[in-house]
Formats: sequence, structure tokens, C-alpha cells
Amino acid sequence: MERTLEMQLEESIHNPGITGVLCVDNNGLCLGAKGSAPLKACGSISALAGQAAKLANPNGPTPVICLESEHGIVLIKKTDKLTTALFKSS
Amino acid sequence: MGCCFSSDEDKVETNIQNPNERTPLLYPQPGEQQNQGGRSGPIYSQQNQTGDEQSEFTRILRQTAINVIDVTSTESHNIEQGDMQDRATQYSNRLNMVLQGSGKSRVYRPNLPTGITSPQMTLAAAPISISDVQLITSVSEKLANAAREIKIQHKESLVVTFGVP
Amino acid sequence: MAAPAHGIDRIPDSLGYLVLTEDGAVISSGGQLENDEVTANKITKIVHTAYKIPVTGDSRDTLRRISVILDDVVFMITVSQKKIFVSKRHYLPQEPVPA
Repeated sequence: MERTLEMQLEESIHNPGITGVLCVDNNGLCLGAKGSAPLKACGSISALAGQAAKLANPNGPTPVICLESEHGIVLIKKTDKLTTALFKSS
Repeated sequence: MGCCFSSDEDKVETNIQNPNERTPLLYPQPGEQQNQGGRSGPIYSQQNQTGDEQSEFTRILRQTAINVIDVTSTESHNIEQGDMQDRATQYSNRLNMVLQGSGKSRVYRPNLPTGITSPQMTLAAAPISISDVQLITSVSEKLANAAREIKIQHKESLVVTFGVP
Repeated sequence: MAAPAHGIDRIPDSLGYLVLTEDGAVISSGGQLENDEVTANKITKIVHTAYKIPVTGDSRDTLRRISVILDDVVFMITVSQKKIFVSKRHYLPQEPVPA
């Protein structure tokens, strides 16, 4: 059940520099979040992953999207039907 | 007659002189007479159908003429570049005014912020590290695997009855 | 090309570049992305969506750069003076693969 997902989220937030993690389904529904992750951005994160995938070869791996600001980084990647966003402070 | 079967044809016992390509090979039996009378029915309705088609066709033509905007008759191609931009701004301003008035906060044209000052420096800077790419790839795979295990279990009735004694 | 590229046409290991208006019209282009309006449209959508995602909790800390990494190629995107700048580069991360 969703306990595995909870455990994986908990584990990923212990990586160095990670402040938050979000996972969103194809419809923009948040399936899980840990740390300081902006829940209202779920829809945009899912949409962004879909738009970036259109730049890639449809049969190849999905792209990694990286948003950088002065003090932080967001890493986004879609696997199957799930989009994951990692929030990292730099 | 130069036809190969001319001799055969001569043997056919018919009371018709000088048969041509329109001469029927079979002759209607006297019993089939009412069929001929029935034939006028479909012919009559066919005429009606063609009339309907005609009116339908003119109706479609008229409708299309109403719907089509004749671009050639407008003066849009004479607009100056600056004038055109003025109008575009005016239209988007009006649209945004209406959108704001309708209580929707969404702005028609999403405005980008001014952004950074030196695009060349930012784009030429080192790309993000491979360790970050590997981190997000592995986390994404683990979470997708975990999410695949989620199955919705049906526990309670989805339909709840209200006010039923 | 007469339109200004702001020097992004001279980025090392660049495969191509685009300069777009905020609604995605191509101002300047070159290399593999020369007159590539299809990519320009896709990138414009990405930029508009990306600006809706807060990178940190601080609203003053705005987005500086968007990277889309596809295997050995990276699209680097930034916004300056309400224009979208795109550089398609080889993805050559400096640090070695950690063992």
C-alpha cells in the first residue's frame, strides 16, 4: 500500500541538501509530500514534466528538468505515470 | 448485317422489325403489367428528392456565405506595423479588463518577469552536476515503483442513501 | 543575422540557440535550432509553466535558469528583458561520475 511510498519519500529527504520532495500523478494530484514542498505547485510540476517530455525522443528516457534560482534548485523527472520533484537548497 | 451472330438473330422469332440496342431481350408478361404502373411511384419521389437536394444545397450555400468572413473586403492588410501593435495591446487590455471583472484572476497573456541581466553568462555557466541528475533519476524510479504498489481497496459502499426510513 | 543574439551564439560547445519574445516568436536563431518554431513553441510553454513553480519559499528568490537534460544534450533556458534565451548544448558535466 502507500506505506512503501511514504518510506521512500522519507528516505529521499535524507539526501544532503534536500529540503522537500513531492510526487504527483498525471492529473496533477499530489500522492505524497515531505519537507517544505509547495503543494500548490503540484499541477504545474506535472504539466512541466509533460511539456518537457515533448522535447525528447518519445521512445527514449524522460528528461530531467532543473530549475535554478539564487538559493535553490528544483529537480523534476517523470517515471511512468509519476512525476517527482526534489527541492534542494544550494 | 456484318455481325458474326447475324444468322442466329434471324432465327429468333420476334414480331419486332429491325431490332436495335434499345430493343428489350425480354418482354413483359401480361401479368406484370401492374409493376409498370408501380414504377411511376419511385420516379415521382425521386423528383421530389432532387427538389429537396436543390433547396438543401441553396440553404448550405446561404449558411456558408453568412458564416464566412470575407477577408479580402476588410482593410486589415493596409494596417501599419505600429498601428497593429497598438490594436493588439488595446485588445489584450480589454480582454484582461473583462477577465478581471468576471472575478477570474487569470490574466490572458502570462507576463514573464524581467528576469536576469546577463543571459549569456547564465547560459554559458556550468550545467547542473551529474550527481543531481542521478539523484533525481533514482528517487523518481523508487517512488514510481512504490506508487505502482498502491491499490485502491474498496471498503465502504460508494453509494450512501439519505433520508430513507 | 541582424537581430541581436546577446552573445548567446558564441557560447562554447553550443549546438544551437534561440532568442524568443515572451509569446514565443523567434527573434533570432542559429545552429541546430535555426528557425525551429516547433521547438520554440514547446520551450515557450515550458518557460511559462516553470515560472509558476516556486524554487524556494522566498518569493524574491526568482528563477534564474531552466535546464532540460536529454541524455547527452541539454536545453538551457533563461529569461532576460522579457525575452526567452535558449541554448542547446552538449551535456558535459564537469565532475566525474561518483563511484
